[in-house]
Amino acid sequence: MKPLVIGVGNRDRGDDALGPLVIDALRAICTVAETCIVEGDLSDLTLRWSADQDVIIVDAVMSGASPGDIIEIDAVAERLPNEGQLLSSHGISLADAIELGRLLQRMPRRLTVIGVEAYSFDGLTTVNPAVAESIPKVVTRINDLLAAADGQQTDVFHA
Amino acid sequence: MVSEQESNADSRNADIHVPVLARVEGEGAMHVQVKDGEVTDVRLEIYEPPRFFEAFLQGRDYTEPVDITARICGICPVAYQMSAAHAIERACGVTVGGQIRALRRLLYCGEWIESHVLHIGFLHAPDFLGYHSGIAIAADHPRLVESILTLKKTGNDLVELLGGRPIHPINVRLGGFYRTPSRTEFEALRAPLEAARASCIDLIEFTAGFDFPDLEQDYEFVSLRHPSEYPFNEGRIVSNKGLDIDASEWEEHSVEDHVAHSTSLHSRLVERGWYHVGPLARYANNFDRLPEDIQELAHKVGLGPVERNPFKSIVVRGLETLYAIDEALRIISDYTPPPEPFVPVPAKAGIGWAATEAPRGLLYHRYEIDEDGKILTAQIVPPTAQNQPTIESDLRQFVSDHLHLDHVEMQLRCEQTIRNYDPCISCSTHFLKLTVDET
Repeated sequence: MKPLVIGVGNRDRGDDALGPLVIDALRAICTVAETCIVEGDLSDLTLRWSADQDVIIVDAVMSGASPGDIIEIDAVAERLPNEGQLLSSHGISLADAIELGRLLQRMPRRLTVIGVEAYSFDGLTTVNPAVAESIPKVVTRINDLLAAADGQQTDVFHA
Repeated sequence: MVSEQESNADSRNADIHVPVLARVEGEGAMHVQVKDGEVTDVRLEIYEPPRFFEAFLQGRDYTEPVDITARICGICPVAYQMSAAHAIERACGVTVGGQIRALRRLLYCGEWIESHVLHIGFLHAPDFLGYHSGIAIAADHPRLVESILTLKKTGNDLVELLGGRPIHPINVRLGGFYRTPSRTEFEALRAPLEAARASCIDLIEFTAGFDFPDLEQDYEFVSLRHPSEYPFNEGRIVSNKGLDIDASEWEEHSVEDHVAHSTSLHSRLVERGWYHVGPLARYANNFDRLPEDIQELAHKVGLGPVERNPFKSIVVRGLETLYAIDEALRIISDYTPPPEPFVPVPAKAGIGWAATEAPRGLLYHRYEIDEDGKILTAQIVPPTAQNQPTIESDLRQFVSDHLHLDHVEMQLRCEQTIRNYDPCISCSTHFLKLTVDET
């Protein structure tokens, strides 16, 4: 089964566009993985993958680091911070969506969350330059993760 | 999340204050005071800042409210799009029929499924099952939660296909859609919808077994009623107490008051005061418009043709979800792509009115447009604004009838009494009371 790369975010909310923009970049070069964009509702996230699949999620985060900084979490091994913090009653956070998968025993084989520190989620603003500069770095990291999962050490996008 | 609760109650004196209501959308609080066995004060306090949508619609082009008003709500944007489109098309003298009309009902089916299922599973069921959130239910009731997620995804997929994305659809325009999907695209949804139907019946039967607190009032149920359909987009505004009007007459019969404890206007009928909109109202006024098998299921799970206990709204939402699934399957079966995805709607000076049935109840829009298509005035009356006085009346009645409850139970049940209405506070706070002094 092909790995799955999910970009989370809203293109109209400043740096929250990071996830969809990474997927745009991947789709231009990547055929070895399925890709999808989740713009708002994360409640059905756990229904998007299979137990024997490798999954990578890309999302913009706010942790207090510098805009553009990249973090990586093995979400099968550890929980994401901010669990239990509802975005609103109409939506659940990425951390809760993943925990739902854990509770329902619907986790994928591997689940890597790549977070990029955002500067602003204000509407109608462009992506911060430091955040935009992270996009090729994230794409490279996804390439490395997919290559490692495939037992390769090379460039899976251009093989 | 409830950040703080301050409660102090005995059997005849209580002061229950919940400063931040959980599992409702938006920012609100509840205050109930009982002295010497009498309820002396009940307030659903809405303090979310007003959003002034009606104000910034003024001067915009008549094609824009379909997209602008969709941003009022993340869970019922289709309702705002439909009320805006119908009202403006009426002002311009255009009626949309045929397959485009059917597709509008289909889009509404998707929204009802998304919204109702979210409320049933994640916001309301925790009250009955004793959990603080829908996520907390998952550990003990995984099948239930998987059912909820699958049903919700079915609604999301429907709205995404027809609306362009699952939240805040971008494919809706005056006169119809920018693009209409092919039969093949819709056929891909048939199997998930059929599977969702079985899950939904299980869900209805499961929720009907909950222990429902006693509460009944002689509500005035206000909803649309259509000659042949369970209502989404069209029909007269009716009630079980004699109201029977066209949307153009709404402002003669309903007024909105500004009260000190709410940034959302309170609605009342001129003739009889507070009234009830939403699933219980639609169900009571349109039970005979439901297919026979859904009527039979309602009877089987213990509901009559009129249900006045608002705690049982969770079961009625389930029945409406089942109706939306069946209606979606019917529309998909009958679908042939229209020759054009929309009918032209040229600008024309005039006033247009429309009411459609948002998941939470009647949603009224009025627009006044000039000959160039510029919006002169706009009015939007969302369901939660209409239900506020009814919610407060329910709280007063419930507390009066249940003074024997300990304070923890009383507070929980009071919060649940509010959640019975699935209130969307964010939707309700966009009134316009703006005076501009240009001297």
